Amino acid sequence: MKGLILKDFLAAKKQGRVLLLLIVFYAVYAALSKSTDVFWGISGFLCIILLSSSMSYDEYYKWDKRALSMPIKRSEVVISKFIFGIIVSLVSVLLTIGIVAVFGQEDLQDIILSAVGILSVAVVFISVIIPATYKFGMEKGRVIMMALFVIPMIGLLIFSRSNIAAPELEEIGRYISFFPIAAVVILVVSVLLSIRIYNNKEF
Amino acid sequence: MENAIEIKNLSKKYKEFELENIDITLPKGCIMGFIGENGAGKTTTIKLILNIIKRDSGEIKIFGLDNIRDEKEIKQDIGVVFDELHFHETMNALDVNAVLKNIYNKWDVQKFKGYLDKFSIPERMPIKDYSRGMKMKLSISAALSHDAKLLILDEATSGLDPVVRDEILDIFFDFIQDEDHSIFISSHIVSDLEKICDYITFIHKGRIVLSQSKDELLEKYAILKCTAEQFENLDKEAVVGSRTNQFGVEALVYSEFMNGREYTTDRATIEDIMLFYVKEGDRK
Repeated sequence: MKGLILKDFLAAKKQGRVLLLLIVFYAVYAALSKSTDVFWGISGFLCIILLSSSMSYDEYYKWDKRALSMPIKRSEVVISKFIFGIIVSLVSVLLTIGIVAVFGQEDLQDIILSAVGILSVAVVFISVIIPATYKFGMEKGRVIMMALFVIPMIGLLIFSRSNIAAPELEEIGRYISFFPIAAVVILVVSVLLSIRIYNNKEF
Repeated sequence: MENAIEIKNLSKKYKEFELENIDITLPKGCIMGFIGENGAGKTTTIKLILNIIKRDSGEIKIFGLDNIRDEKEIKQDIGVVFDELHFHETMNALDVNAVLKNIYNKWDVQKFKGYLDKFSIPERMPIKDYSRGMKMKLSISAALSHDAKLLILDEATSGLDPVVRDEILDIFFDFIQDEDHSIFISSHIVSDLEKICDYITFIHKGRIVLSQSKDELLEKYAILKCTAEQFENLDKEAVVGSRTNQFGVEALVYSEFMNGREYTTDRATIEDIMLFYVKEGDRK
């Protein structure tokens, strides 16, 4: 399992470097403009990019064929992919917290709220992308990923056009403890589902 | 004697292709060549051995253990070389070393680096800049560096030039010197296999046509060249397959029928045997 996770990181080191550069660029941008709001979204977006590109290269190089010829259980392949996605998200959110704390004007409570929110969203995205890619392949998986981004945006757009009052931050704060719980439940279901899908796959 | 691979009644059905009742036995300490035309079922059989695809029925035992129930244990002792490398090509040989060190219990860094040296593979060059020969050599280095007892090779020498192929065959010779080691190698480059194998298994359209020791096989068959008239007078039971050309008839025959007759026969090669079987099979 450790070998599999290591492989994901080593294989992604080139993209990782590009993404780090992007983060530095945005950090400079944040420092100059004193605005860090956009940063949260970007950090979430970047981990999804890393995960999905890792999976599409797996498919392209037929890595699974090699992995399964080695002393590795199928469930280990699946779980290692989740762990990779979660580690990347954690690192990315921690980096963001650092940058926001240094350059931003948000107070501690806001930072924690945003971090918990973004992490929960990232976990949900991971939980959709992995089983979808195993089930439908990368091509269709990409469409599903786009839908993941577009649907909430449309939802937000409709919401902002309607006359419903946007909830206050305190109100969101009250519910935010449910976010990680919901995300973990979705994660567990997704891991089980992904292992099931993967067990029936032939390479 | 214990067997390295024991396959019984193995079947797997696809829409357009069926692998039917495969039986293969590879005794420990031997090299078996697995031959057949493209699409005959070689890769399918190998994937079934490795449990990368699921069998419909039958039984596969490796070192006497079930290939599914004891999968993880068995695979610690198998080195696999596919026709492609199947590593992300942004990685280099050192990355491969780091990954495999964490997967195989008996991974030997010194041995792996020794092979890299021997094959002149630069440690830090990304795989995408490798030639095909280098990719195969890296794959073989990886397969040999965790103290495997069984090598499974699927078209590992195809697409390589004769010099590299010869180098690689030498490595296999070294490997097989240990009597605990066995090799199962599929290829359609039959001449390579004829050089190194103890056993030949020939698969055609998803069925095993023959599977026996190379020496027996080469003794059993012969190539007969004669005129059409002579051929007419020959007992048809003696003939496996034939082709007629402007000089007469060339046929693959059973040697035992030829004893004491006035025909001159040549030694048959594995390739002759394969070609005549396939042609005859297609005619029927």
